[in-house]
Amino acid sequence: MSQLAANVFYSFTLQSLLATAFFIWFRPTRYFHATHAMIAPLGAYAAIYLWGAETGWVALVSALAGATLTAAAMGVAVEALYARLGGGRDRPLVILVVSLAIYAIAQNVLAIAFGERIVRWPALADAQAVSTMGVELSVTQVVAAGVAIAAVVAIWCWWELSAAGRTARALSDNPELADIVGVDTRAISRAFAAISAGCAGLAGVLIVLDVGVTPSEGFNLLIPAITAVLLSGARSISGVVTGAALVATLQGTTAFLLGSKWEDFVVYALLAAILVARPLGLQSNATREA
Amino acid sequence: MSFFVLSGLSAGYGGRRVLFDFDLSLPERGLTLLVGANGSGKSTLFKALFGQARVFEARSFDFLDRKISPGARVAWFRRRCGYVPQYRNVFDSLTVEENLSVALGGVWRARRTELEAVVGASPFSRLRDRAGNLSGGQKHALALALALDEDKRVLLLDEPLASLDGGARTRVASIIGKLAETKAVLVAEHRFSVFAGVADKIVALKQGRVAIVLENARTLARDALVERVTTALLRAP
Repeated sequence: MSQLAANVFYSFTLQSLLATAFFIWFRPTRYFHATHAMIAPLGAYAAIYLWGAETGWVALVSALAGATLTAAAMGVAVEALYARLGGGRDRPLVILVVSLAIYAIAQNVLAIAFGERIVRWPALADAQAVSTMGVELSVTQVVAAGVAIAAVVAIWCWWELSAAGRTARALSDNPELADIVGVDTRAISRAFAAISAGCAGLAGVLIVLDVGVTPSEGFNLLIPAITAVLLSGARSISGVVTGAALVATLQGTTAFLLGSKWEDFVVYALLAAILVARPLGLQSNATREA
Repeated sequence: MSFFVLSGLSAGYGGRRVLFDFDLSLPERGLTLLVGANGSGKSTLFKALFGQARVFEARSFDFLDRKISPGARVAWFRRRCGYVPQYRNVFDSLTVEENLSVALGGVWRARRTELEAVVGASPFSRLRDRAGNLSGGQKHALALALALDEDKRVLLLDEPLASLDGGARTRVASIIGKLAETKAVLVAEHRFSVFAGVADKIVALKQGRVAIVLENARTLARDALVERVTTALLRAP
């Protein structure tokens, strides 16, 4: 049972990072862009391409930083493209279609470059496993959980405590008023895109260290994150982290009781149920009828 | 010398025009009241100035006799004009303190006494509360405070008395009167009786066109004022 709890906790840390990354983009824009699903695999493959031949702590730290920056740059580029799209009231739909096209292109480019098979980068494979109180985790898992927690805490501090985060929350709350009072909405939107994509890229590296990725992995990583954000009502990072805890617990318990092939099924079913009942999240006031 | 002159503004949404060939001049200080029924184009004027509605035409826009080029107008308005929209005019999920910091910067603390003197102490007594939890009157007072940047010499208020009860309405109207002593204040209201007798100038709109402009409105008796505006609105096509 304690091993199950440890596995759930490890999964929760990565889910929290992925969900926070999605939240930072979704909260101010309120549109879904499919390209976000491709950013975690992009970060993973960027790490493999740049440092995959090496192992050890230096390579790992370099890969984490390099992949985060690469993903952040992609996020800014995608945001700049979306900013040029028109569409009026149909803008969210236009963005969804364009983002699906970018997702498909990026997935194919990664498949051509790296192949379809699962790729892992065991940068810390030589380190001994950590074993305590009947729980065993690899050093890679401990490092990944630590990095994910540190990243989420850093983003929470930026979002809740800094002047830039306060301005970002203002923009998320009321974009028109933010514009009126003189907030540089374009600059803040670029910052959102960079932070969101950077976090997703970082999560991609943490995932490739342990379980590995494939070019088509994107939506499998994103859907639990979306579920966590919608469970939370997409209002705060602490809510998103709580949502991620629920999703990770549900997945872990399902895998333990029914087998791992059911763990994705329950998340998809939960997401479908949320979207039917409350399209903007369980804590929102919007229902299907509204 | 004119302080603020706008001429020939036509604006709307998508391909639909709501405001037609609208002219407006504001004195450096004083209250100008923009009256008209819902849908007459009052909010569209404000939104057009702030780039939130489409401007089809605008012949000229002068500030202190200096022409502001079309490309620079929206940026100019955001820099020089405070604007309080009718709806969603505070950041609901932020605290009162955070609202003030976002809109006015950290300097609001140094200006607190001045701001309290203008909008009242009520919102400042709840600095740590979320703005969404304030009463209607407190929200309006906070919304006015957010627009009181020192650099902003023109204040645009869209239906500032909407959804307020009698007491709060009188308080907010009094705040607006006080603001007009130092700034050019343009208020859009469809029930203008509260400001009749206080406004220096009244512009009445009907279906996006000016029905009547009354300069020196304070010199007219309240009943005469109401009758002239009502008659003009009824006669306008």
